[in-house]
Amino acid sequence: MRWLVLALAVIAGAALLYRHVATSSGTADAPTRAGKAGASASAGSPRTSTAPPSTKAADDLDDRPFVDVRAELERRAERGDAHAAARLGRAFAQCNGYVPVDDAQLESWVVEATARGVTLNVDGHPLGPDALLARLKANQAQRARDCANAGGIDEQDPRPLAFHWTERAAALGDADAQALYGNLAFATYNARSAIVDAEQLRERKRLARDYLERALAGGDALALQQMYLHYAHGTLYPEDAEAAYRYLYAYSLTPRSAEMAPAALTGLLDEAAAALDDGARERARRAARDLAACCMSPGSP
Amino acid sequence: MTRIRRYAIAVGSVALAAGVLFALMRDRPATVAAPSPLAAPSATPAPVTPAPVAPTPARSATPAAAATPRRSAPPAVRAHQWPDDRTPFGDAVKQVQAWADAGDTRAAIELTSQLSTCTPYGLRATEASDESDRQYIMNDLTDDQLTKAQRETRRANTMQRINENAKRRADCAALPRDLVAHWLDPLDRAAQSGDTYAMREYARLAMAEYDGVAAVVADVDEAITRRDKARAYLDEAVRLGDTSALVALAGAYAESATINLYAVDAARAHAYAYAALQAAELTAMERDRMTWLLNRSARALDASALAQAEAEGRRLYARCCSGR
Repeated sequence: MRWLVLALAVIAGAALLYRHVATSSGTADAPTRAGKAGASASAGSPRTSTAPPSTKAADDLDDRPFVDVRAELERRAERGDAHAAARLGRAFAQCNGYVPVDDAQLESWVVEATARGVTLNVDGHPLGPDALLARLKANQAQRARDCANAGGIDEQDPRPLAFHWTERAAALGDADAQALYGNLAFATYNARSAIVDAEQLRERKRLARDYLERALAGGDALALQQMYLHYAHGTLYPEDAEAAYRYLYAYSLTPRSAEMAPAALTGLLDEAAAALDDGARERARRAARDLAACCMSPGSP
Repeated sequence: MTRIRRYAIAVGSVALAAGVLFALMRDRPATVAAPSPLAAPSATPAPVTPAPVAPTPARSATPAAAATPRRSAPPAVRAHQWPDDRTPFGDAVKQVQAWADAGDTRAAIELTSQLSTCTPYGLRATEASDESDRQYIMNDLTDDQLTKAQRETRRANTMQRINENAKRRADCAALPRDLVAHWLDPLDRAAQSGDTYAMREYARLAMAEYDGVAAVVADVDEAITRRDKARAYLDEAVRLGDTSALVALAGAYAESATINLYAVDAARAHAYAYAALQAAELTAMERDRMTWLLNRSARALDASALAQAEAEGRRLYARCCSGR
């Protein structure tokens, strides 16, 4: 019983982290990203103008298993390689404890969980076995893609590492890391430390908004998606359902929306739209078409 | 609520439950066997137990009026009660607001307390309560231990609470938005007037809304303002001789905080609990809580730190409350 709950919790927790971090495409799919970032930096784009120059782009390591190149990535990240720092941040954020799980195993878990009366509540209502299985499969498929090269990470608490490297990558000018900074900046707090260290938290919030807006200005589609999250949850910005839908719809128009499972994206759009009347929905869509124009690059800018 | 938030809550709950279980399993031995860093390396450390709190014979001899330092500021105007249940909520709010505006601190405290159920946080709390209640009803349906009559009684009681919550939400929706937005102001004014109960209630109610990191992030400037004010009010209440403020501060420094105001500090928690336990007028619940906390905080302190904390507790009590 305990292993079953823990297994489901691990998968669900990882899926949650994925949803919140809302990854860029798998590291193996983006071998040229660092090169582009480096080119942008040398061209002096506003997005990276404050970042120190990378010493060596880490894209030559992208195809190698994370655990084999972790030490080298850390060395490069410390020396100023934004791509290496970003990969470290993503790996710790998304892939700690990742082990591939096939569909048959997931089905077995759900069958056993159902038989034992274990239920996963969503919005106060228990998720049926079919819906639970569909979610687990979708999340597992996403993790399999994101973490294909990042198995074997086993940190007791990966959040400080995820934040440390994402913060480093953001400071070095990685647009995705800047977009994601706000999702990791508060992960190491609890309700008590957030109050006790509220001044530090306020500074991180200021930086998170600054980074997110900088990433958006630089044409990073991931920033659109993150804007949606922050408006929907009211964290970095006051809760605003119309703004949330506007950014999510804009994200859905960009090539990088393909990084999300279609069913998940459609579901999110439906949910976000449901909070609005017809007029607000149409207004948001019109504005979204203009917003999306910023970010039509197929990868991180 | 967005799907992602619902999903987050759901999976977060599962992960949290597993995490809590895991943490509890990990924590248990550590709290029992943590060695004292200052203990002699070869000697078996003597069990560290708090010294018994000195009895307070002077307390019993103290005149009753002086023995109740909780109320440091006797009301200058007549204290009114909340109108009875026959008075519609909106009318009661208006009436109590008028009394509060006229300087009735009890009315001000009650007004804020009632309005706290109408804030977004308060509304979420009642919705969560309703959800739990509905689950209880569903669970009772399959509970063979209950008789039909018991099941029906429990259902009726639970439904009454759900219906009352629904009515309160409707009543809240009819209140002026500005009034709800400034729900803490009457309590703040009462605290500023020197009422130590209002000071303690401010600390409790103002900080209760920040029950998660997201809530603090979303409203961080206000959170800082309230935190600093709550700290100052509790200190001021202690200065004015309010022994329940000692209890509140002990809880604020404790490992499992009753109010999120300070980082965990076993020595401070111990000192405040020790000071509080010297007061004769603690309620039984406060005394039980402080006794538990005293034993708990002692585990984290070596003999020297324990002695220092208890000396600090005696000093705190002597400075705030002894002889009042």
